[in-house]
Amino acid sequence: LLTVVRNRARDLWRRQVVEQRYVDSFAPPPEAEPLPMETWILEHAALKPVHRTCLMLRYVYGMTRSEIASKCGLNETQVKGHLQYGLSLLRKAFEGVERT
Amino acid sequence: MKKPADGWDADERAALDVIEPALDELQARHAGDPPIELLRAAHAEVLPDDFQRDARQWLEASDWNRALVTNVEAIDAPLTAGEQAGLLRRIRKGQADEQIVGRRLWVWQPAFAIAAVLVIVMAGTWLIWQAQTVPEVSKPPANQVAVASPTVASPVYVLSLDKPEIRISASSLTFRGDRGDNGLLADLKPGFDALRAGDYQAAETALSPLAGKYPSAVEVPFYLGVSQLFLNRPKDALTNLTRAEALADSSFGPDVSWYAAVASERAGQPDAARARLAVLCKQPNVRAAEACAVEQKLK
Repeated sequence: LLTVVRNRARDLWRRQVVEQRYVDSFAPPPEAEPLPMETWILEHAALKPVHRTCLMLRYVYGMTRSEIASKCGLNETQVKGHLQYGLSLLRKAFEGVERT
Repeated sequence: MKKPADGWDADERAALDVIEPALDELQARHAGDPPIELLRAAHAEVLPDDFQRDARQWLEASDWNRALVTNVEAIDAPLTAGEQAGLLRRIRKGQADEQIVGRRLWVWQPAFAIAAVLVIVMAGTWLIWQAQTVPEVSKPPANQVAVASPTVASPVYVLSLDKPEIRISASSLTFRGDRGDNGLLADLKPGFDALRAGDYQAAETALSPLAGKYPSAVEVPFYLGVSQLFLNRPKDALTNLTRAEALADSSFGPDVSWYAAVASERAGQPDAARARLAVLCKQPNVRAAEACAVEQKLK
């Protein structure tokens, strides 16, 4: 019984931590000028929504290919193809650009 | 630089060596962004009120996050030229098949027309024959008294039934499935869309299969019960709303109890409805005033 109570309390505490983290995640974002790469990803005409999404989720948020596939309703091979296409354009655009 | 759990392949390593500085900066800026599921829920406006307000402000302020949500949602919308051509081929083939079936039907059309005329003539003959053989209506005796039969009035309920606001509980927002993603929000969306459109039959159809899949999500039995209330099936509604009462947290509790009281009254259980209203009336909540006002009226 003690173990059950302890585990339930631990679950409750973890859930509260996660909920609080979600609430905190909507704290107002600091106002800042968009970064060149940010603007490029959002506005480059050769990118379709699927390329933008794959680039954002993998190279900015660090998701695995299978995570991206499940979020976008694609399979891993498709994700890999979209990433290759997007990354090749990104590389061409930012080759040699130093940290701003 | 943040590395995914499945690591980089050779192409990625080669490219990232070149663009790493710029990418580092971008990652640092978006390290504290909310999870994508939460952003999508915010975009669909299904978060609890206070949370939704913050989320909406966030999305309005962040071009990046807004673009992420709209791009994810646009992924399955457009068709490529090849897909369009394939679709057109299938449509044309379907039309050709229909024309063949249409030609076959044309052969049978005269036969159908003759049969229809015969049926009409026979029905007309039968009606005329019936009219001629109807006996003359006998007159009532002079001392007969007419008694009006009692009219059946449609039931009037004390508790009004209004459409509830569509909301998501905090526990559903933080729900994680076997694959670590939040499939619950996506699964709820068709039911919520149908509820918003007032199509309660479609809402029930969409939500029913989720009861077994997400047994701890209060939204499923709650909105299912509400849909059944609108479909005039209070007993089914009461079953689901009673289940929702056991799952509801403090944000959902008052609404669930209110609709369970509505279902109880309509299912012919006014005592149960009154008991629920008494509890609602005693506690500080958004339904308390309304519950106190109608509790005494319920006989």
